[in-house]
Amino acid sequence: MVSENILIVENLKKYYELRSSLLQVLGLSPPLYLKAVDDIGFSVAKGEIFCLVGESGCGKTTTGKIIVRLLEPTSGKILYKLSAETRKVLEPYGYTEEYIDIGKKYPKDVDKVLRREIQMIFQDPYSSLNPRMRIRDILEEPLVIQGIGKDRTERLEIILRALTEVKLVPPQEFLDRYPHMLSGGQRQRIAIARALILKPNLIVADEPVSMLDVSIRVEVLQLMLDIRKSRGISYIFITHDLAVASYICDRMAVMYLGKIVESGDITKVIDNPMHPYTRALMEAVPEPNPSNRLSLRKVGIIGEVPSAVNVPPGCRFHPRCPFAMDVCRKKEPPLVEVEKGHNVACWLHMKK
Amino acid sequence: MMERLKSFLNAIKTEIWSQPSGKAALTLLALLIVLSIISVAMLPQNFVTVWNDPKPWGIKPKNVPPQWVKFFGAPCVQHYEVDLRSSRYALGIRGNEVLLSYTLTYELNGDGFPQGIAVKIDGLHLTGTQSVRIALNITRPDGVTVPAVLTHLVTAINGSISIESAVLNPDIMKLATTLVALYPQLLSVASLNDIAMNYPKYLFGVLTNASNVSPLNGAYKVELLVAVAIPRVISVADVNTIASTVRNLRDFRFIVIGTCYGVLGTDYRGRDIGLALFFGLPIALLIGIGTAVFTTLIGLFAGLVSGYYGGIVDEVIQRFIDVLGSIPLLPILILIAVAVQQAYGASPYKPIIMLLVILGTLVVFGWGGLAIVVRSMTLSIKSEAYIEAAKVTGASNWWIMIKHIIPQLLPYIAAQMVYSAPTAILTEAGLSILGIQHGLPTWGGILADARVYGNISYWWWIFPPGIAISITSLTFVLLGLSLEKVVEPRLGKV
Repeated sequence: MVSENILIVENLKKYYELRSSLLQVLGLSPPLYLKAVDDIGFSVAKGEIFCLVGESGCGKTTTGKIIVRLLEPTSGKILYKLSAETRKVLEPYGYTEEYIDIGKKYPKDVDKVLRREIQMIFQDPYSSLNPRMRIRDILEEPLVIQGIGKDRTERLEIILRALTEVKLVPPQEFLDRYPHMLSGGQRQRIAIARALILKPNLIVADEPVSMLDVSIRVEVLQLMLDIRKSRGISYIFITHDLAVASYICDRMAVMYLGKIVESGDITKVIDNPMHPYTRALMEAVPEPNPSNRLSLRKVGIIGEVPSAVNVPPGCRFHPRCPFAMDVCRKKEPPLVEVEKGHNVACWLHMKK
Repeated sequence: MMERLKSFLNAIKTEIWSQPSGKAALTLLALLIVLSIISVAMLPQNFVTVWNDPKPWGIKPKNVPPQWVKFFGAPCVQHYEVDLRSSRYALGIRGNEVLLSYTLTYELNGDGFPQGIAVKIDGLHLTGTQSVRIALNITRPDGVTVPAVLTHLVTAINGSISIESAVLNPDIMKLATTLVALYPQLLSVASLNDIAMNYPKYLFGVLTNASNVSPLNGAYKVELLVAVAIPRVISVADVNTIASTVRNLRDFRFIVIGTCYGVLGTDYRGRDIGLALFFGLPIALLIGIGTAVFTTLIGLFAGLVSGYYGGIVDEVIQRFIDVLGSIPLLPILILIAVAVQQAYGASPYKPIIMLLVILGTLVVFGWGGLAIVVRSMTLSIKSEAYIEAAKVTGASNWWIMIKHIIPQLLPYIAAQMVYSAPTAILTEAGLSILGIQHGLPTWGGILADARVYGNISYWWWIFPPGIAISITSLTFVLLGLSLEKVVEPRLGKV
């Protein structure tokens, strides 16, 4: 895909300080760090769906939250390409560059404008909608906060359009309902509508279908694809489900313990997984053919994910890796391109 | 926003009204509020001063039960008061005296004796006179006239006479002597001293057998003479002046003090307990609602900020609450009350200042518990995904607190507020009993007086304020109970 990058992440780190002992509390001994995200980099092109895949606790949600600016990164750059419209708004504030580092702090009014650009769809549509607010109020809230729409009627029009866009028709019927009166799929559509209503250019979708019934997952995924088509927006799609990833993504990155271990075009990674961890994930996908259910799968990896506080030295996957070598225990493998559009961080593939 | 709040309140009201306890609570609350509005509208401006001034109550019966006890067969002598300003009088001139003589009929029918007789004069100012003499004769139903039951002579100083406020009582020794002269056989049942001390018994009684004095029922003719002496030849103008002065006195009445009074009896000073209960109602509601509102607001704000912002702010607020919680409230209250008493002892606003200081102390020490609960609720609400969703759209902290957190706390807060109202009322009553008195006629104050000056048999002094406190507390507790059901199902019906 030859297209400009809308987001470039470089050396992103998010460490949480742990001060558990008295000495640490007093600052007499160095605190421990929980390395939720440990030096990752990737880029998202305009109109692309970029997937972050990994087990729970690998730092993919943290990465997503840093990008929507719910969390502040410890270090690293998150360069976001401003839309022409936003650039015009921000010019008087002195931000004239094409890219802006959204990992930094900004004055309140700049911050507010920036927030319009990147929105988020949350994992659990049962908790991401305030149970005490009507759909009308939930969707109106971002508009009121951002000062979009002159009055109620104008905002109502925007809300009705958004509801139609997420295929909740007729929209008038949903306005005065409360979230608990809707099904899971409908709720997630409301959540998508809320993310879309500010006309963002990038949406971080944090496992948006993992809480939904299997039967409605495809509908929601299709809706997201349709929206990309009509609006040309990009997604960062966070999931642990490789089936979902292969359905929706253009490119994906596999994360393990806060680090990207493999990334590349979806077809290349799925068809030819190179990192032992990716391969293990692929093998863990349930077999749809019932005649194969008795054939025992070879589970490639052993043990549990280690704690992010005590990251193993060298390659962080080596304690669980069936192919671990001496070098894996000593040196951390860099992420290198092994074929065009396919990067792997594994000593096994370094020689090529 | 306004319309949403309205619908929220409406929903709560409907929910409360759907329960019997809620119906009872709302009815009682409406009743209390209407009564206290009437009470405030009727409250005389100087009520607090009058209440604490012994003078105006001197002509009232002391420690007597309410009037209606006679329907239950209890002895009761009706309190008898005649306003002499509007009574008819006979005008006469004898020598250099202008005479105003009133003839009244006092009907005694009961099985007891009155507490005494009195004449009250307020605001008498006469110039150019020599003296004013007041004399009272009573003709008993048996035809015997007791002369000079009450006499009073005021001589002019520099030609003018001024009585600001006076309650005239019989000279009891003189009266006893008179009575013994009329009924020598009285000495067989009592000594002269006894007769003097219990003069109403002998003035209004008759010796039925050798040892028993029982009330002499029937009509007593009371002749009250006001004689104004003038040191010159009396002119028509003088008579007119005197007549109009008497008619325009601030107060001028003849009283036979009964043994039952008013709706709820009287206390040791003759103060009407019913009046105190009535005017104490708005004060009780003020104490309850005022303390509840301020405690809740401070608790809500502190808990919200503490839970939402966390970090050092949280630490400071929580440790401050710990410190507040470990200070014993009661000794502090007593100390503060004494200090205020010393500082404002002379000020006419002392009762109000003291009440406010007590309330303020209750508020200062009362918000901690609520703040802790609100903090923990805030902590759990703020980690909800919809809070993050609001943040992503650019919501400020205040927006999140007002739009997302407070609405969830509201039902709990309302219930809490309702529950802390009776606590405040009861605490104020308790403090009064402990001797922290501010002088306002609060219900607790009445009970405290009953404890110090009363007697276990003065039920009208103990039960009515007690019941009033209970009913008011009950109203709030019932309201809280029915609100609880609103809180529990997470407002399922809304």
